[in-house]
Amino acid sequence: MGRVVASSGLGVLLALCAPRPALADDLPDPAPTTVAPVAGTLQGGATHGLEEFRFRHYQSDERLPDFPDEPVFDYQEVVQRLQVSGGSSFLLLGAQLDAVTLFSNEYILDDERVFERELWGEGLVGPHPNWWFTVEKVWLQGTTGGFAWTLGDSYQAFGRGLALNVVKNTDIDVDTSLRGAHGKLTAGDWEVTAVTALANPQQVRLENPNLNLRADRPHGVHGVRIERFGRVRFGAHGVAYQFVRQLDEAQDPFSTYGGDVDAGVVGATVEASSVGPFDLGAAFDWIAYGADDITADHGYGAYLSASAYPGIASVLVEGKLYRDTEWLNQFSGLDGYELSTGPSLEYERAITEDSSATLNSNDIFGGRVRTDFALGQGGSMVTPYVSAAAFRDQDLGGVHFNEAPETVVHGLGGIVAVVGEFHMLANAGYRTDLRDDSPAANPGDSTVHADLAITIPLAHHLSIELAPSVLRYHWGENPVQQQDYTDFSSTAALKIGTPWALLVYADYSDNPLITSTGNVSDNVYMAGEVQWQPTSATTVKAFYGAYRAGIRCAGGQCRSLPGFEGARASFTANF
Amino acid sequence: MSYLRPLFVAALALGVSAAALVVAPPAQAASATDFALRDLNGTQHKLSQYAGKVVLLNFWATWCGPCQVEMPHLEAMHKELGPKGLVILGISTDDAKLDATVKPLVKGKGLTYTILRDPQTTVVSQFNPAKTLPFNVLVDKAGQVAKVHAGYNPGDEVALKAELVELMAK
Repeated sequence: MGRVVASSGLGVLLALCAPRPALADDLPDPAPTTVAPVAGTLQGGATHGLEEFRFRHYQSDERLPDFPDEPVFDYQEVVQRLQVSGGSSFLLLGAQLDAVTLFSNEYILDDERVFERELWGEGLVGPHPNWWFTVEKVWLQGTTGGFAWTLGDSYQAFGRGLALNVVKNTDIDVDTSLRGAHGKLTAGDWEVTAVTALANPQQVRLENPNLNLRADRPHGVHGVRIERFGRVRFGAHGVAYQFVRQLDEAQDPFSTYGGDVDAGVVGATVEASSVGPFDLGAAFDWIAYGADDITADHGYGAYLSASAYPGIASVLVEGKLYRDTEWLNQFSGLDGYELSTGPSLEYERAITEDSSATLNSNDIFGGRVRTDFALGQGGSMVTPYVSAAAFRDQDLGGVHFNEAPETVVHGLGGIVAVVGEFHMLANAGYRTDLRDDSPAANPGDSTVHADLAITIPLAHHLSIELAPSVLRYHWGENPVQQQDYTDFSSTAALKIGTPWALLVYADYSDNPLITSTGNVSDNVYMAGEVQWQPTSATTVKAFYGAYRAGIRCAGGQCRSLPGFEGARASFTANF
Repeated sequence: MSYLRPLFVAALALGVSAAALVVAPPAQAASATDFALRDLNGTQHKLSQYAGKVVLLNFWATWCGPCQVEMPHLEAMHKELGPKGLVILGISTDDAKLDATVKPLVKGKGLTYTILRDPQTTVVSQFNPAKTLPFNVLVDKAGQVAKVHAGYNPGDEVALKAELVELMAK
């Protein structure tokens, strides 16, 4: 019995070829303009592109049970992504090409070919098990007069996002688009938008391990929205969803069009500026479900917001009432993305495995108020804020840890200070989740959290950045798990001018729910990185060490992402 | 030896990437793709309506810390260079569910340059497909992309201002 590293059998890597009414009584008027006649809305010769390259060497300290010299993971991954678009006067053509290759990923064990990691998952067929290439996105856009259209991939959002919200969120490595046809007609203050398309999630992950890549489930999304802009802005929309249950590469994606409609959403939004001292907004969506495997007949979501700006203060009040909205994401959620995301009342830097369930909340009602105070002007500004949220979570089971409804209260404060080249952002808060059936002696979960990012100029072209964050979680009575834990992360960066930065990362976590193990000890992770920006549009990074798994959030969406141990290099260039 | 081949291939891939950029048209030769977005009052703005002026496109989001740090510097530039012809278009990439948070942040920070909304991430996907934030695009008087800046580091505003002044002088 022997373990022999076999040839990956792949000399193929992606061959890249770079192709060649003025209602502003409370806001300032737009800058005076010099209007040049331009035919259409796309100028000739427009070319933009992005090249992203990632190399990752995964190496874990964990050893194979019968082979003490062999780490469980010891392989390399190369990811290439090229996005380019170019246009003439009326047309813009763009594409995104992705390729991933695994190296040293297989060996012979007892005459059997064994893969450390399976690149292909359900429903995927390709030329080699360690390589995958795909034209991830492709689009043709055109504009004629007030009509703009897209064939291929586009991003769409209706209302406040509960009816439809498919947008790019590469910060957490999610990029789902709608592949089909989209048109928008603009006539003065009126806009009519229509889309009929199939969901096209990103298959190749740029920043995270590519494992078990799966065929797309081409969910059907068809909708129309009409909107009028002005001091009072209102809109109405309808969206029909057709959900695909099975993964099947051989399936004709257009067959989705022949299927039943599983869910329909109708909704409306109203926004009014400067109603007395207030800006007001309201949104309502009604969802009708029509499939046997969806246990609810209907759902709804209502959202209200009001803001006012007395003196140096800026006050925002939000309220929401959601019921059985989760079914819109039930099937896309299997592939790690959402088609619908309405406004949340959560603070995303303190999301835990428990509270992630309420971020894109289903059966929630409550409110949040936040007040910012602006001090200073020009290049120096200090903005402290306070915020408080209280809401009732009635959703049970699933990814929720609670088996009884709970009341959540979250207080938060912070500051953004910019004084010359000295910068500081700080946030701290306390949250408690009080379950209805918890004993008085131990009424609920609690979270204490704080994060800080501070930049201290040392000398000309030299500065230090420190960014520690900590979260302490205490479990109340809970049938799922009973272990308090602490998460800590920190970054220390020495920046030498704009081109160079040296960074040291340190993480600690004794959260039993995360899937990674530290490289210093089981709970401690350390890493170093060098960053180089040879031009303002080009970044090169080299990283060695480990970071922990955990929940990452950006723009109100969160993902549970894996940790990493090993070395990696990246190259990113806009052109 | 098992390390050598993947490292070689990785180096080769990096070389190919660099070569792709070399053969690509330089940024200075690219016209800025026109777009139409609405400001916080619902008024539509097209990039092409600012032809003849130097335009700074600043992509940001309410949840982006470095963006908030950069904002006071942009506001200072707007006050100093705006009367001389500089146009700053701050493009909020917050999606639809964060819509209500944009205007309070703008008002709270006293920003007076034009803020546009791109809730469907259509325009940011065009100029900045990686969606790095903040992201600045300098468009010259002829409508050409003169330079782009990804991210923000302390002192970047000094270089940015110098580049804008140089473009305005041309």
